[in-house]
Amino acid sequence: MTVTESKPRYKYVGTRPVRHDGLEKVTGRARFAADLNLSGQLHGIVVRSPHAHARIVSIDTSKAEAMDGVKAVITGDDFPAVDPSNRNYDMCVNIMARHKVFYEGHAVAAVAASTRDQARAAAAAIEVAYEVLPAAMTIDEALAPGAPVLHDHMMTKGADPPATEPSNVSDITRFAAGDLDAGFAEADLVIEREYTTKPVHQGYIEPHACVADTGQDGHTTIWCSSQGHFNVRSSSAAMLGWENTRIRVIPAEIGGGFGGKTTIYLEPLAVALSAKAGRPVKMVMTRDEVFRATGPAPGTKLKVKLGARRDGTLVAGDAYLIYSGGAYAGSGGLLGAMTVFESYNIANFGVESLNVVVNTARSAAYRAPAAPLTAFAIETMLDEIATELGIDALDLRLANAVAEGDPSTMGFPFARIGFTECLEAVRDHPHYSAPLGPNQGRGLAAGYWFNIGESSSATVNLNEDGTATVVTGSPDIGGSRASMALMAAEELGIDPLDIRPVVGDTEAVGFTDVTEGSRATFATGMAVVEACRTMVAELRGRAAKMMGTDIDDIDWVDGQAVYTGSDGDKAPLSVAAICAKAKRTGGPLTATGSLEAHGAGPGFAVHLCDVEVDPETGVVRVVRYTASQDAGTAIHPSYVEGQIQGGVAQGVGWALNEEYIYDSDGVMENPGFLDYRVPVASDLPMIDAVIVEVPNPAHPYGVRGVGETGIVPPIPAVANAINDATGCRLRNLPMSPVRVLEAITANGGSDG
Amino acid sequence: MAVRVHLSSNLRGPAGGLAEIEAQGATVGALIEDLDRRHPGLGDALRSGVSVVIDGLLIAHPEYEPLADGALVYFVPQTAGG
Repeated sequence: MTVTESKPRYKYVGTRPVRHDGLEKVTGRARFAADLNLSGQLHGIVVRSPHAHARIVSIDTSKAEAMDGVKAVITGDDFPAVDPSNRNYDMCVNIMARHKVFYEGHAVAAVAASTRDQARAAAAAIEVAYEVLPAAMTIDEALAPGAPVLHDHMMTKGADPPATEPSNVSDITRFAAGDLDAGFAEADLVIEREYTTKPVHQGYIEPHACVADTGQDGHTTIWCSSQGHFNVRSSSAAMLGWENTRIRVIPAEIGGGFGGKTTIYLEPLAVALSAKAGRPVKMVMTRDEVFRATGPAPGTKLKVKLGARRDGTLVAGDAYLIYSGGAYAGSGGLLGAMTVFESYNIANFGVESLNVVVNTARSAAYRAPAAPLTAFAIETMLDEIATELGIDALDLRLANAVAEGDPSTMGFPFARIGFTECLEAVRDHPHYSAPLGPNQGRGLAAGYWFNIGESSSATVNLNEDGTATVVTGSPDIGGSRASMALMAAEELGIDPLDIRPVVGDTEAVGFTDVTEGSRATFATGMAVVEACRTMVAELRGRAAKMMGTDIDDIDWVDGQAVYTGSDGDKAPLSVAAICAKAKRTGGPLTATGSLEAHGAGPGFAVHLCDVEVDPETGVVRVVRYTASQDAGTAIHPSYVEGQIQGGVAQGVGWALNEEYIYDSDGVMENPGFLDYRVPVASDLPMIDAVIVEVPNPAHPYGVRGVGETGIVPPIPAVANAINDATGCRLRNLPMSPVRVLEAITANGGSDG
Repeated sequence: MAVRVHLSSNLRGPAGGLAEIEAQGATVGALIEDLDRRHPGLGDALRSGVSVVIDGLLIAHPEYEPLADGALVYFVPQTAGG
């Protein structure tokens, strides 16, 4: 179902051709990083800390180096020293610890050997002496008086007065508007609630993997799975102390990233091992390593107070947000502060947010970082306000929703946005008024994400037969190749299946930023359009030459050069006809587009969730789900729907099941998909994705990013549905059967 | 160029808490220089990790972005994503 504001009619944009990489994926021919094997390659294994917090006293690699098949061993000493003032410090010392380990699973050494078994045996023979230190595993432990301070250099940024002693708080952010006291004084209803959430992993199916081949000339080639191979290049170069030009990165197909592959873990280790051994080195994480050493999204403690007038108008909001960034400074606090009140007009608000370090793996981005958790608080509190005031939950949101011209938390007025349209789309959906069964409840929630632009490059090459290749630098993590082909098809007038969209390596296409922030179809799509428009100008010139006329007499219409001059009739020339004569009219037809994309359009979503709660076990089953989202313009609607459905699936897992569990020594107890349970297809109903199209005026086709917003509303939507089914208000994640049952039977309707 | 500047509330510390400031600059970079002269330390706060919004357009790396006379420039924290 699509709800569309009036927009231009397109021939190809908005259609649903078979994805170009589909056949290779479904037949198993697509090559992911772990599928690559080079002649003579070695296998690399990482030695990881068994302790959550410890000083490295010594590392003895002598026994390992003498073992059969071992060709190279590295430790932190094999990399340039790095100082905390270096902006890459956290990344470098996270990839390979120096002097201290900050979480169980932190890398301390790596070994390359002829076989994986030999490498594993050698890794076990590396002797690391640790001085175990007390650990701070949770926000409460990290902030407690006398807590172990992880980093001697961490002076809280934004502290008032300025920090004079190191602490576990990396930074504090504050936003405010209006008069908070006056706002709450104006309110007829004030509620204040506290929430806790646990770290969760992005849960991508493909573990991190790479192959590095370093030659005698000091240059290396890396094949890897990532969300940004230019970032792999620059980050690896920073870690190794190399120039970028010594590193070529070839992107493999990616088996999920969701933000977790915007940073790197293995690649510099593989390069260093390969350089030392003089052979290619392949490294593939186990699932256990993925859980212990990569990701996760932060855990939080949130305290929010909202005030509303009797008519439902929100008049005041106050939030105190704490995000755990894992072992190094995170960014959740800032993003939480920017999102907590962003969706609604609240004239008087105050936000203070903290990023705190704890002895768990360094957190990484996860779809709409920080926003699902602030939405958990705000959207469940709005439900409570609606109930208290006797106002329909959707009407309450409609009355307070931000629209074009309303101020954002940061002060600037929103451009055209589609929040109201998303609310209306859900209100008008049959699901909204469908009857519920026994033990069932319905929950509504909204969500917001900024989306970003950044740098992108594209090259369009026309082939001799009139077909085309579109090369971009954006790894395709959600169907973006199909979207690139569709936008190129629209511009050039070529069938999208006659266009081959390719992700080029770092030496085959211009610099392109990481695929994150829902930017690929927006920003890289703009680069493709720019390249195509340059190409069309060139095609008009070539056609003019072939027709013996001036370029100003040639229009480009539906894939043909059409003569508009007054010198009689001239037959139109197709792309194929112009390509066939390219050698005689000026040579190969190629064009590039490179840009810094401005004007990313924010994305809003509204979700409606039905659950059925087993009152005897506390098990929650999602039985119906409808999700509306403003895509601006859906270039390939199937992949917009896929992004929405994927966000819902992950959000439902976050709501109901997922959490990191540690023992008393800070060792993760559930580092596998058996004990860390993500939803599978049989856990979910068909998710009805409703695409709302309110075009982004800053994009040639009106695109807004769609990859992240869909994960923001599910947690509160599920929580509100559970409340509707049981009368219990759960404010701590995950809303596992144990918690739900406790709320039903023991705690008088809440989870404590 | 005379320009109106709006600072998001987390950036107002070096400006003595001011939300809006009148300043001069033909580009955003020049504007930041002028703001730093008027409010020492504000330049450092605006040079990294900060985007601008001009005429509804979010610009992540605005240093050389030209400004029209009378423009309204919003300085806001830079965002990323997942």
